[in-house]
Amino acid sequence: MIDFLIIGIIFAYAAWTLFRYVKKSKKGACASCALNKSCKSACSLPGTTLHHAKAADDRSQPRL
Amino acid sequence: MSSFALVGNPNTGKTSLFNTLTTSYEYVGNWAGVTVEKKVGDLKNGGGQLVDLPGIYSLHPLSRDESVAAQYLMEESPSALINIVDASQLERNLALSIQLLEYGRPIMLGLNMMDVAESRGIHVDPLKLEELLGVPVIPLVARTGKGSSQILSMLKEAPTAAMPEFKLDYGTAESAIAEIEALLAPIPGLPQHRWVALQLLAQNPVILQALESTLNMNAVKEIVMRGETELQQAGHKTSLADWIRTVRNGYIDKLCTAAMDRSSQKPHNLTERLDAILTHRIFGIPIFLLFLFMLFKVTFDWIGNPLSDVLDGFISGPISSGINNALDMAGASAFTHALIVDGIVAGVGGVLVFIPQIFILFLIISFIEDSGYMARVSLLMDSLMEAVGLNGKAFIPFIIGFGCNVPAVMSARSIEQPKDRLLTTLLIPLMSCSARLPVYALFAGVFFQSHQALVVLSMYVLGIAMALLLCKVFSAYLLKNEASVFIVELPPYRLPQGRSLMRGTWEKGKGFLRKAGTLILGGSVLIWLLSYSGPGGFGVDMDNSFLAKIGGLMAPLLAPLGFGTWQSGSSLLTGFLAKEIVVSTMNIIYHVPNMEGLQGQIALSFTPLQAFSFMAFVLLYTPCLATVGVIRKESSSWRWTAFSIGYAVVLAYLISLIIYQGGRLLGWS
Amino acid sequence: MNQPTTLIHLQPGTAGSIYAIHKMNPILRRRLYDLGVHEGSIVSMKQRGPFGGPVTLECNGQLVGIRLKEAKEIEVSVC
Repeated sequence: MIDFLIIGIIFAYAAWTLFRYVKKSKKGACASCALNKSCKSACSLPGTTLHHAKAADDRSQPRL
Repeated sequence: MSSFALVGNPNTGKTSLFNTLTTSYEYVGNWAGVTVEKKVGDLKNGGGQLVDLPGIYSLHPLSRDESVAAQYLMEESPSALINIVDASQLERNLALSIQLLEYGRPIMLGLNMMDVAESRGIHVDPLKLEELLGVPVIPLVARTGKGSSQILSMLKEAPTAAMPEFKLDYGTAESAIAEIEALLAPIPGLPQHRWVALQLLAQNPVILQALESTLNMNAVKEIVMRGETELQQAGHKTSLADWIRTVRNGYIDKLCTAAMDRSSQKPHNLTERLDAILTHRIFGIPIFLLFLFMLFKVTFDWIGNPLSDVLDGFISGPISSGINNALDMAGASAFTHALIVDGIVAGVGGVLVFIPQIFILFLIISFIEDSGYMARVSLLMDSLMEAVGLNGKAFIPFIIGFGCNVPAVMSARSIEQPKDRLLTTLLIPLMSCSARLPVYALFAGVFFQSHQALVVLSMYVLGIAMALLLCKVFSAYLLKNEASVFIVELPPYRLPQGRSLMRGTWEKGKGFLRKAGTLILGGSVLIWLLSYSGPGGFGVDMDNSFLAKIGGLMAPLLAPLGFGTWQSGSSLLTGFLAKEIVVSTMNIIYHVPNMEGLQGQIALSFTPLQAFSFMAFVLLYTPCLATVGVIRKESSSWRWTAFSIGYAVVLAYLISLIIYQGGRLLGWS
Repeated sequence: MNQPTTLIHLQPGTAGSIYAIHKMNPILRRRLYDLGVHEGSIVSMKQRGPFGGPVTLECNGQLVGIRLKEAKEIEVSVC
């Protein structure tokens, strides 16, 4: 019956989104991140234009 | 496939140019080991790929992030470089250009912001520059796309273009350069040797490190010493590195005199007049607070709420009946009906109605960033941040945190010192993220209708105040950190372009939508199920459901805070997944078809004081699961992660306690 | 009149040429250099910051903000 189909799909999807979220959280990623799998880190939020305008406060030579 | 690199100072419109030249772009993660995104795009005319190197003032880096460009140039061989130069800041920009010209690969100068230069009375002659430098100089207005087609066609011809024959005469240092080139001769796979030699003599750490194993560093040191002795003998009391800079500066001066006419230069009139007010000694900060207040007024009272009401009407009206009818036609059971309508539509819809407020907030933040005001804000905030021991670089992560804590924590990587970085990471969750906004909007809309903006603003201010306070505490007892350095470039104010504003807002806002369609939907299904079933089976009375039982465990603990009900307990518990879910859960629990109904229910279940206490608790109580995850990843320590949750819960409890009990003592209830 | 004075004591509107930059964090010194602020550059004071906060100076058509205590280290001779 369509009923079971609907319920099945909904629960499957819900379970999947929850599992994926928990897994991604454990890995340290963002549930709302728009980046694809190749991104391992920072999401693409702007504000980085000011990044460079701040000085480093590292008195020693920068490590590379 | 040909690969080209886009290099230039920060704030030169590089991003605009990149967007104009490429069809699509991807963030292919980060450059290894740094926080800066690696951006690669396909050129519009199919001529190859364009790599956007991070904005820098010089190839000589001060931090790891800044070493990306030098590293790229050492390791890769781009077919050509595009050096974007700000026409209104020519001398400064040319310092980098010289180093790129010496690199020896085909290069073209994109002379951007010609319009800005003209409007300030600075006339730059691109043809003269081209004649003197020996490379193509293309005038651009990247914002509008003017000049980009020229660049594209030039890039197509790049592989066959001639190498630039740029060579500065470094006088006394030339013998040292030649000696180093001799040392480099046997080493394969290097970029042009003269460039490498000059970078070595300038002590560029990237180049030094790259050649550590293949070059005899002692020989290099000897050459440097001899070179400096020669300089001394010639009467110049500087190091080789400084000498190189001096020669370059001298050349740049001559270049600018020949190619630039500053005689009618006008000062930044409008910008300075605005700054006189906006960064005023006494009024600067109050004006900023007033501005924030207006921001919230617009986000809620004036535009946000009305739009939200319309959306709510739409969701609870046509959409709900549409779904109901479809379900009826499909012959769905009562269970399915409830699942979809009371679970999904309620849970997700309850959060979606706040799209207007969230997008407006993001729009205004984008505006502040693009207009240049954000730089002034960091200036205003610095004395406060310095007083509590916060690194100046923490400003950006905090600002990002107002959107979402997760990327904020990741952007804290730009803070090199581990203690400072950890401190910032621990405090970021106190920045009220956009997920908390639906909670504020809901409660403020019910209890503080005439002062919504003020109340919501107070939440943000409370978060910031706690961050400042705790920073002082943490840095005094836990993480002693060093003093930091502050410098900020204040770009001229400008009216942001509609298109880039829209794009920026959409970038920020689509995450919210994506989250709603995945996590919040999934969470709503789960919560609904817990509310629908109980020890007595399915379809039970809400008060006997699993959800009620679970929430009931927390209720007594929350009683002193003013919300000791299972409904509050469950909502807060589910909020750990994502703070929007607090609203989703309430929607599901209170079982109402639309926001007005929910508001009615909330009004019955809380008093204004309790509502305020609840809001403060939601603001402070724990980072959401995603944030916890990223804190753990970035700090590599379960201890600190647990601490970040622990202190937040304790803080939230204390503050809510103070608010509620204190309020009662004062006579409110 | 070439009396050296510090940057922050410059009257707003008058320009000075940087004579020396005293003990300053090398990183900040380098950053300033990148922005064109070094010995010999012409600068002027624009604005003091709120409550002893960062000041705004102007150099080569750019506006830059640095902390008060660092601005005090910049010695200029009035042009």
